[in-house]
Amino acid sequence: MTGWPEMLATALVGTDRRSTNAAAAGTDPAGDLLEQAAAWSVYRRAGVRPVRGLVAPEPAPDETTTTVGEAAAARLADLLDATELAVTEYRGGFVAEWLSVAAARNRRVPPELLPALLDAGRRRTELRPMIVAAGGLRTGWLAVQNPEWTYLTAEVAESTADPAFWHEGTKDQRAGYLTAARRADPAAARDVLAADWPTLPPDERAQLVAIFDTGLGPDDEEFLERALDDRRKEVRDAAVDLLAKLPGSAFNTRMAERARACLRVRDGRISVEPPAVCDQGMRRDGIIPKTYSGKGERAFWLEQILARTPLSTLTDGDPTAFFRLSLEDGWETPVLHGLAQAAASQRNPAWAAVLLDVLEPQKPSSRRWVVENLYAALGPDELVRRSIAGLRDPEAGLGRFLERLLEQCPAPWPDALVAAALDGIAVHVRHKRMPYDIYAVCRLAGMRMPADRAPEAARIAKRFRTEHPNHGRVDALDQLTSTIDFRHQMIQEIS
Amino acid sequence: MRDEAKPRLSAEQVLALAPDTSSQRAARSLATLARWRDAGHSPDPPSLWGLCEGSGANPYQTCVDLTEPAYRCSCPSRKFPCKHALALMLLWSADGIVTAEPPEWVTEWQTSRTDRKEQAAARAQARNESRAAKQAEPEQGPNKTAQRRADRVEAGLEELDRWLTDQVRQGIAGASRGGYAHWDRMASRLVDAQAPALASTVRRLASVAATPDRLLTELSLIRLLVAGYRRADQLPPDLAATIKARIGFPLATDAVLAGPRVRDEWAVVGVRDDGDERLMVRRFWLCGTATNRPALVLSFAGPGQQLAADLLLGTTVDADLCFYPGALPLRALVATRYAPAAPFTEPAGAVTVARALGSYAKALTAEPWLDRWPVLLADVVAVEDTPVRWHVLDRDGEALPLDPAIGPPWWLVAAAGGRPATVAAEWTPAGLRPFTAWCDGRLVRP
Repeated sequence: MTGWPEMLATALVGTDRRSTNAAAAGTDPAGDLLEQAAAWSVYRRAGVRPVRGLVAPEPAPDETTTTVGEAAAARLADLLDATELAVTEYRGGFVAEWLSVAAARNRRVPPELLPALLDAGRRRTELRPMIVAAGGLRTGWLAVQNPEWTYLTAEVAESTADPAFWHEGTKDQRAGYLTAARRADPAAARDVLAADWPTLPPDERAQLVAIFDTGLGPDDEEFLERALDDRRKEVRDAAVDLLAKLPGSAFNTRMAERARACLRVRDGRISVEPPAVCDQGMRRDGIIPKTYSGKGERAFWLEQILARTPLSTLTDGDPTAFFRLSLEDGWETPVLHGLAQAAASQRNPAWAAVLLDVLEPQKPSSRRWVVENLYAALGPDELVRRSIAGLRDPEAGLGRFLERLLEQCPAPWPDALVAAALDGIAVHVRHKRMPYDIYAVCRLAGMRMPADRAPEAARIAKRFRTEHPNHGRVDALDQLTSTIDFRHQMIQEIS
Repeated sequence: MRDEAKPRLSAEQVLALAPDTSSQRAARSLATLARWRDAGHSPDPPSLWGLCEGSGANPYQTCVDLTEPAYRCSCPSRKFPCKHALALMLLWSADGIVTAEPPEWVTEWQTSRTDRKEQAAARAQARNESRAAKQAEPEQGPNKTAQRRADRVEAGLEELDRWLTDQVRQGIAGASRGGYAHWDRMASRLVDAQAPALASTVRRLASVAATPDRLLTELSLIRLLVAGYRRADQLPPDLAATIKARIGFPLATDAVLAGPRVRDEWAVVGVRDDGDERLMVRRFWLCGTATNRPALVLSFAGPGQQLAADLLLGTTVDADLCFYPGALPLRALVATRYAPAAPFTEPAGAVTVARALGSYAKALTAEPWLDRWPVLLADVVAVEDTPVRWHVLDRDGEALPLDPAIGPPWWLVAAAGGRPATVAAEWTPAGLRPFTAWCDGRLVRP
């Protein structure tokens, strides 16, 4: 009987081309081969031997807390169920609250739900601290085993330090490996990336260079400066963002110089002189030379320069002093929009507050995202103060901005904010007078107000329903009450 | 066995009966006694009932027979079981329902069910008798149909045999170049030849076409099946039945149910769904507590149909199974249930890796085409030896590779935390496919 390897070799090229010694004259060599192969196949399947020589991993440390009960576990599993993507935004909020309540009550996520939770944390960075708090000791033990989850862990375990992940892993695994390596030793990680830089696909280069945000330091400047000469725009943009975050970088100095040349202060006035051309140096630093319309290029360059200028270099970093000066006519929009982008990306609450006071009332001419991004730079007290003002005062004119402002407010909402929202809703549904989107306010109130205010919300909804049974906007209130009921139930079952 | 001694189903097991997730959510919100009146539970026959206020004028009357389980509710929902029945079971699961004397509307339902069951049994009996009578008379119509089918299969196998030898004559190295069409063409010929099971085996060759080793194995085993069918009349009847089943000769459910019955406390150790949008297949893997015998119960659903959920993972059911005839009877039907399903904490009869492989080898001697074999492994740990290559390792230091197609078993790693766990799995030529694990007495699944 012929051996399996030889039989396989014959079958590969075909019995027409390679004769088997078993084939006697007058028989069918292909049929004979299949017949023998069948005997071999059963023999090989029956003879599979166990694999030896593997070493069991170090078990997870013993937990000090208990897992949540069945009902709470089932609810979390429901919320993490990736098959119902439609309400992801919503669910993210519920998951965050579930985790923080569980952590506060010293209860733990059932371990079998950790993979889904760690996957959710890849996209939703705001969940990460809560995953660590409510996941128990197993979370860290588990996260280091999968490079896609290493965002969670500060230590680099041997398994993720395995360079095989870098050389043979998937795109996400390489990113995970690099993140972990940056935490452990930023310089060594930079060398790893630098060594393979030329051979990496361009879109992956952009993803990987952005990881330098972890452990970013002055030593990275040289590498990032070189990345400004990359052929791929995404790579250059990522490098620009990082260089802007390095205080005293040559990049920041160049931008500050450009800004000084554009805005000259003389006798309490700012005269504006944008660049005449977008030169090679500006383009290298990420300034886009062409506007979409092809018009207003100089204003466009000015705005981009200011958006990347360190605010500490303008009027010694004092926004009030800056706005005491009068601005040359005709350049107000690019200057304000540029500075607003700088305040948002540098997370500068003082500049953000002053800029909002100027930009919010100019609704129609302000680009929406420019204003909205400023809210993220404000401190929590300022956010709450502005929200209350917007909810209480129909003349505040926040309109469409209110939703974004409320979104940024810390959860759970403080009492004063809850009161303002409920009053605003009550007035709104009765008189249709508040100039904001009642559905958005109800949605956010349902998600963010303390869940034990559920009875109060239900009372308002009931009263309104009795007084105005056919009111068109009663469903906004229903959404609020059902959301808050859901949370109330969810929080109660965590034990 | 008295059912009070049996533990109740867990909430998770109850929710597994739900037709969809929105029913689960609705049931959970109804599972509070405030929503129910006159709820009660009786051990004989094991049943639950209650009145639930709905949007209608009268409360809905809901009752559940726990043995099957079977449900009845006066609500207009077309979901089955409805949220009311599920909520009632959730309450009972949480020990929220008192034992009581069933009211009249419940006993009426139970009586009508018993009557229907008896009538059905009588009809089945009558059918069996008439079939036996028919078989006694030779040369009847059905036999002509059977002969026509046999002729078609004969011709189809003739063509398949030529096709198989052609593959090997021309060389299988280029087999993957033809893409799916290459295999689909032959598979369609077999569908025409009324050999549907064989047709899907041929269609599945596409997935191993790039691996010559696997391809030659599969081709040779198909050839073995063809050869076996030709000599079927010289083979033991059980082996001949296996061959006919693998070719795709249908076997009526009634005929299987008329066969011998095996009563045991059957533990449901695994549930796995497969298939595509045209036909979904749910496999329930069972293991006899006393007989230590594996069994496979299948449920099929076409578009818009629901798969059966009457066997609950992690429970045992005291029942008669009827096995499809074959050299290695594995597929079975549930004939009669004697008691409601009862949860178990860990399945009995888990073995080492070596013993599991031994059981597969032994099974192959009876059924050479066997390519899924249920194994219950004791104290194994999941190990990633090199990136993305996973094994489960037992206490003797022996391991089995996982089927790479199922992806990394993070669910098992997370739940077990590197500690030994009992794992139920299918062993296949591509590797092991775990479907359930018991970690610290908790059941987990992917």
